[in-house]
Amino acid sequence: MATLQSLKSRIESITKTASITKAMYQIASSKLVTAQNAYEKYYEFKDAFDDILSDVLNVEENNLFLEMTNRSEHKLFILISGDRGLVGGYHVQLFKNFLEHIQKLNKEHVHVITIGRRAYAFADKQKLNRLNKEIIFNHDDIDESILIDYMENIVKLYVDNFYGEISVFSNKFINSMTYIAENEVLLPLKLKPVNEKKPYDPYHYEGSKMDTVKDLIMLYVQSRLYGAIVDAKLSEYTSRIMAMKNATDNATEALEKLNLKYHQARQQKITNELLDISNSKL
Amino acid sequence: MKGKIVAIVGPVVDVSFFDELPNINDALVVKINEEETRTLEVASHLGNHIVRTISLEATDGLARGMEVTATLGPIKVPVGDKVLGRMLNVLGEPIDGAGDIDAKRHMPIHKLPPEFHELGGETEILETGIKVIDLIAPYIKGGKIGLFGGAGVGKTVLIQEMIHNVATNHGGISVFTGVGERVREGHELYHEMKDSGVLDKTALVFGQMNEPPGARLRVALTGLTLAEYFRDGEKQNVLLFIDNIYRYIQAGSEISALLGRMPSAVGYQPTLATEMGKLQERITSTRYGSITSIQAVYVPADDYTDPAPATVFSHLDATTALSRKLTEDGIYPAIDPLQSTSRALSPGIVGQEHYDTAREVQRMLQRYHELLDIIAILGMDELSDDDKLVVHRARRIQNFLSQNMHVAERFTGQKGSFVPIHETIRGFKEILEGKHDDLPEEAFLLVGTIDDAIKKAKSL
Repeated sequence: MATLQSLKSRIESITKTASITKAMYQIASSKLVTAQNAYEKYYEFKDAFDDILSDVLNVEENNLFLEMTNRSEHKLFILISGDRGLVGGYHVQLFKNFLEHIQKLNKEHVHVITIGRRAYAFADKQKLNRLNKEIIFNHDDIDESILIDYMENIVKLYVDNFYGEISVFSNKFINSMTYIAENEVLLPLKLKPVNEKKPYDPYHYEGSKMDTVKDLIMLYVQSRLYGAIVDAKLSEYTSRIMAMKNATDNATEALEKLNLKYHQARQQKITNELLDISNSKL
Repeated sequence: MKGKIVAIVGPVVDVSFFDELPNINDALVVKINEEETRTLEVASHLGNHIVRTISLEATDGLARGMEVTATLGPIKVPVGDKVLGRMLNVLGEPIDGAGDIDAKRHMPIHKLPPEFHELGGETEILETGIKVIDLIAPYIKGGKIGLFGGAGVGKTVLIQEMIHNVATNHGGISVFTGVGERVREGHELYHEMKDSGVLDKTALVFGQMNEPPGARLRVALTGLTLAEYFRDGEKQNVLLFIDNIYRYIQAGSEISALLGRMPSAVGYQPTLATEMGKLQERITSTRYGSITSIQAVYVPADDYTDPAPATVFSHLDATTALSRKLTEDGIYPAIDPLQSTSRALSPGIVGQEHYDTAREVQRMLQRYHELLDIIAILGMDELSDDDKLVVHRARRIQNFLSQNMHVAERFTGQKGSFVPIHETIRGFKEILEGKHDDLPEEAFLLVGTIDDAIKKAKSL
């Protein structure tokens, strides 16, 4: 019977898909722990770092990175995506939100640096001004050198008022079921200066606080970007775990149904042959 | 030539003749009383002066020893203008209660197919006004068309729609043959034709489910004989509808068992292909006129590899396959665009534009079906943008392949539509080009032309 053949090939192809999704699920689950550690460590660092930063910025004469007026209309977005598919709605949601976010802006004024293969292709398709000429891969082990290469120039461009705003657009981890696409503005700094006076100053600086700001800002930009990548990575894993688990479940369900059909068809064929044999005894 | 009944087993009657024997396929008549007679048809000679016959009517009232008269020829049925507007049974007797048919000519129902040199016919498209048929599997004038489908997918409804669209516009003569289907359907059809005014150009022949297998086996030939006469005798282009050719095979199978032949594959008669060939080869176009036949073919258990539909397949110019899947999705007519085929779908016959559009529609639907498994497992998000577009358009195309039908008017309350071929092509081409990507899917469901779809989208 023709259907027997086609059922068989469908069963085979779904079995293969299911084994892929299952493998992806397991890989993502095993990598999740590392990503979670990195994520927690980053936030410990961030809290401490923010303390120092706000302390440093909280001086009257500082206006370098806080100033909001007379800024250029050009905006730079660092768009962070993954390299691979099979992550459910992770990329779709990210890109959809990004397009909504830049909808009101003049496309000429939007510049992007893409991290991850998907974002690279997306920027190409949407004809965005992409600064990186080559794909910056978003490997599972985060490569910090990519941050340094671009960041120095970026900060310089900001200081020269070529860019009025620099921000990171990425998926942010909320819990193991959810993540949301968010725009985090790096520059100008949005830190609220702490007003309450502490009984004692916990930090001592070599040189003036203004000099420290200039040093710190590089560290700030790089660490924030690193944080965003870690965050996005964690969201990617959770998204993949969810998506692949669902896919494996769907595939198993489909396989059950197909197997039932297959055996029905197989048995039918046997019965027909038996009938033919017994009938021709006439 | 007289004989005597020696045995009666259901519809099979053995008759003994004293000297000469009647020929195979000759009709024999048994007189029961002053009014009633029964007709038998010789099927085989058993030896010992006994012939085995098949009764074309119910055998109640017959008894052993009754006298049988040979008519010295096959069953003859009235032909010509007199049968138009009438309803006949397998013997050519009127069953519409409108009096006797006083036809000048009678023709035997058994005949050889036309000779090679008599055959004719050019290839011209028959416009049915049903989008999916005209686009994917266009019908040929003077061709043979099969409507395949399992139980309850809409074969009869489609054939009625075809009668409505084609017979009404065709203007010529139509012959409808009901073989082994519901009596109710014949009744409905008769009244519908009466109302739409095509009855006086139509002859109806019925041998429905209630009749014995002999009648169901021969009624197709009766209908065909009428059509043949209009073709050769009156040089007309005739439409021949047969609903349902599978019942012809089924009746043949019943009789084959009763005649004691050994059953072949899946229990069918060993002479399946011969029987089919004898009938189908007579349905053809000659240089005098043409017969365009539209035959419904029941597919047992939706299995197209069953010997019965498989045998019919090889005789057809165009096949229209009805799919259960589509009826479940609410797409009517439930014609499967990937399984339906036509010899006429080639650039030389239908034109390049039509051909390209049809193939592109098929390609897109094919791709969509391949993607369905992926969508079911991984979800829409995993598709590439190109594939998403394919799915988007394929779903619209699938809906647009449905149509509001005239015969369904009283169920849906929606007026039926006849879509000319050029409108069909324009509609599908525009969807393929992406002109209507913004319209909702439902707008394309059960509408006629693409303009109707746009109108429907506005009212949604």
